[in-house]
Amino acid sequence: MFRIFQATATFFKIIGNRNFALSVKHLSNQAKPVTNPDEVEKPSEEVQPNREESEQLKGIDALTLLRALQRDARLVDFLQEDIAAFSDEQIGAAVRDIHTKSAEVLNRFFDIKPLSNQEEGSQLEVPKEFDSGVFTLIGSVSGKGPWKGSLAHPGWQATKNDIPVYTGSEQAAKVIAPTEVEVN
Amino acid sequence: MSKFSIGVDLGTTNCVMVYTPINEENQKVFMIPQFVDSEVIEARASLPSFLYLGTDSEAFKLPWQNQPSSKIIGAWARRRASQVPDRTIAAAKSWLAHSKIDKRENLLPTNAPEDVDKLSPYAVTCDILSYLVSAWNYANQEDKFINQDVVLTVPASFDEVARDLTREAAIEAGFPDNFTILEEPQAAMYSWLGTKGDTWRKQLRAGDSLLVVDVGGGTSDFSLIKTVDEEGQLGLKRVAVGKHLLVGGDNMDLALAHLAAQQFAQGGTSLDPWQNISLWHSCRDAKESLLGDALQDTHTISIKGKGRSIIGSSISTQLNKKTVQDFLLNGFFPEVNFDEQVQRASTGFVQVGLAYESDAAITRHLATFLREHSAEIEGGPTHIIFNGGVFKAAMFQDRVLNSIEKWLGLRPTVLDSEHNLDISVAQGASYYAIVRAGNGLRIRGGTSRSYYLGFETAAMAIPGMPKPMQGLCVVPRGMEEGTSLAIPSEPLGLVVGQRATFPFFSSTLRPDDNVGTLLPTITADVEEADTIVADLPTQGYESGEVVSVKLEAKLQETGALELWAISLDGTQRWKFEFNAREE
Repeated sequence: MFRIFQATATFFKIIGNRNFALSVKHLSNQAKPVTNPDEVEKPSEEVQPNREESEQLKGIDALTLLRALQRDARLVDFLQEDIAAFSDEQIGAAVRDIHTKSAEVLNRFFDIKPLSNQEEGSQLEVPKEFDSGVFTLIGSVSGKGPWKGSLAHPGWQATKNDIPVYTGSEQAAKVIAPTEVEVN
Repeated sequence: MSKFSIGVDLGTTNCVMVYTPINEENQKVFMIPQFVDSEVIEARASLPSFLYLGTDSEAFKLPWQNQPSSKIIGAWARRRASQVPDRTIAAAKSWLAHSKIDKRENLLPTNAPEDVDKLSPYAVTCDILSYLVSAWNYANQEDKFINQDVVLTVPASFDEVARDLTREAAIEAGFPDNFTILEEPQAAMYSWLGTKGDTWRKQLRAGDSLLVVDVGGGTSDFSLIKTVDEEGQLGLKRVAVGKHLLVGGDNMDLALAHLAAQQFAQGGTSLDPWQNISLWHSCRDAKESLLGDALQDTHTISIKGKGRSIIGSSISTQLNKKTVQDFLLNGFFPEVNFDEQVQRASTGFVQVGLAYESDAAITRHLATFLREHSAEIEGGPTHIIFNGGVFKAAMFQDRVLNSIEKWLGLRPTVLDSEHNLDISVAQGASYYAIVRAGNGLRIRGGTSRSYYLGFETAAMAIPGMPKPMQGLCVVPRGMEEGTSLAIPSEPLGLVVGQRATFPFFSSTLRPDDNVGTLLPTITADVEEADTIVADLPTQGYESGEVVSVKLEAKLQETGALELWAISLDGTQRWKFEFNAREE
């Protein structure tokens, strides 16, 4: 079961991430029994943009996402601000825009959809063998299943994984927003 | 062997590429990788037509580049346009249609600091097109762009000179030699035809006339297409196009920003330039929300502070739905009488820059277009196609329909295919590439204008007065692709081995002129197009020798216009050049 999810995740990653797709291609090329070394498709220099650098930077996708949320929605500014002193009205006015722009970013990268299409409160059955990453059983859970219950939360899923590619240096990777200087 | 038919919409503010595998019908939008931030590449459905000339420290390498470059194109350049306007080039396409400048002169950005190497409108166009080609080639290593069927769209109002420059830039950028240029309103029509399949014949009859109203981000364009009976089959013929109008959706955002700025001012807040730019962006969202089907009656515009405090320094104002709708409707689509004249700028002095319309009333421009082409319309327009993001708002469509009904006594039927107004031009272009290969209906129409070569009249010179100018019609309106015309006139004397320039004129308003028609004077319905340069190699004649020639016009299958001089004995041919560099 796990392998199916791994395969699905890999599928989205191939669709969404060119560098990754190329490395998978490379892997499958390597897996092929090679009779003549000349037949191996060598990924050209041109096709491999900064691939090595990208692989060195651990967790770079998370930073790139954070950076996008700050750039397009100023989410980090908002979360870092001490909001205790402001009225709900002031916060409300500022948040509307941050909300819209953050949602735009998330949907552009992940195209977020409900995991289950059933209504909240409707009845559904969870099979005997289920992936605990897909279903969470709550309440009085007994026996070996299948379990019947009412849907408390449909869950969410990313239907794609299109995080932009970071091409910069390792030092700059942790920058979420650059220092802005107004030249005069 | 081509594998894809690719439609390229080179927009004033956004470029879109749509491709269709040959022998299939599934159209796909090509996702264009571009910098969206320093060192961050994201693939997006459109490429903003902005070019940012960065400092030396802002050089970045795209996956298909060997060297980092500080010339940035796309989403990040558009963002930089609001932060560093003097180093950013926008709307290069409109500069390409500017008849008063040398399109190969490095003049953009106009306000660039001295250390910036300026670029010509031609070079910028070339850079943007070449970006699209490289992005495609990077994603399709096996199916290079140059081997595909490619159609590039231009405004219908582009004259042959602007089309020729676009063609040259595209070929330099790596487009295939046989790519086709298609007028944007026609592309919108093809998009409709493409979604309808063969059922379109049920909706149109011979004699119907279709008005295409295309209001893009920066420009507006009108075209008229007639359905004609061709040996029992329905065919389409483009019969008229309008002038190049520099007014569009971006003007609305700016107008709305002014409205909001007034509201801030009334509340005692004056905005700094930076806040104004941010306001402009917020107003774009406000426009879309308040003109759309959203139920809320107000939209809050909030401008955040420049620093990191976001709530403490935010200022906000409420835009009322009704106010905004009335403001934009009456500002851009006012109710006008059919005979109202377009308002011209009152000052005589016009700065060298883009000739933005001083009259933003699109309905008034439309009335002028319909009035000037009343002969071609004949009891129409019976149908209408709306194109451009602006028309996502139904109220603008209604206002146009109501106006036409008031002016002409008939209400055109809207040809609606529920297509996405942002990408339909590229879709139509991709569909046309298939049509061109012989699998569908083609809109005919030939040249949208008639063209005239200017000659000084043989008359006694009067001091202080320019010699009067005559115009010889060398290309009649509607000249078909793939034909050539001998131009009947007295033989002309051309000096070989020397450079001679002729003024070149065009008109959308003189459908009855034939090749060889002589205009005794250059009248108001004829506009200056550009200069034609005859820089004729001697080809066996003595340098300086005067050769008697006849002229010939040739319109290539691809739409490229050529003018040739042919020696009277027919043995020698010289090609004239449009818009060659002034020396």
